[in-house]
Amino acid sequence: MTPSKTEYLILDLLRAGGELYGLELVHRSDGALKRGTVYVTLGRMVEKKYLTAEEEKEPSHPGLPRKRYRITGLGQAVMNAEDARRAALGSAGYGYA
Amino acid sequence: MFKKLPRGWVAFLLVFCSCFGGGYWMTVLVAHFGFSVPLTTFFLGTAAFAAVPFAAFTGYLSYFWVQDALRKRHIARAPGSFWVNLLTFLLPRKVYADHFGQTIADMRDECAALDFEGRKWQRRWISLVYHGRIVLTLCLLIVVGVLKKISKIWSAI
Repeated sequence: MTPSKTEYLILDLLRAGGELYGLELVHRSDGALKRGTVYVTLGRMVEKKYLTAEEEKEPSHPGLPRKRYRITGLGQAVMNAEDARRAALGSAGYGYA
Repeated sequence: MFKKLPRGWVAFLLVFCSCFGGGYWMTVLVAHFGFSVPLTTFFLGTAAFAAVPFAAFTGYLSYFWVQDALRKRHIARAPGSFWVNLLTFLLPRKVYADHFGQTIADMRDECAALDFEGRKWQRRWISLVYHGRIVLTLCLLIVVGVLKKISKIWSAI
């Protein structure tokens, strides 16, 4: 259940409860997420049920509805567990890179 | 209203009528004053009467053609529209939405933003990168599809 570094970053960006689409996540990650791989990771996270994806009701471009991603309860739990794990490692003096 | 008329035919008929109408009236007028009317008078009259409407109509039509040409210069196809047309025709909707839809939407967003900022070269570069990515995804999709088929056949044997 430990999320990868990229998955953790995406969960962290979505933690506030907002809905973001792929390109917004890429822009907000300051280069940590790549345009070419973000949708593969997002798809995998949806399969793992960390996130839900919903298509826009009114697409910004005709025929191209955006998928907006939102963190799920499971995603939130995974995030909290990962935070706790990192805190425990930090307090034990291992520090998390 | 003018746009719906066949401009070529209207121009042709007007020029034709004015030429021969002009020539005819010139001949009638000259004959009225008692001069002999050689054939050249008819042609000269025709040419004289033809010149003005011909020039006017040529100018009028070319004004519209120039307007059309200018308008065409400003209407550009949306980035990735070639891929949207091709891929929505070739692929099932779900495959298109899963693998290409978001990428093309991103491409449009980024190109529009760069166009707005007037960064032409970066826009071209981003467009090229996205085109490359779409081609690569399509190639990988085909390769994976073929491999899946082969593995299915292999497991069935």
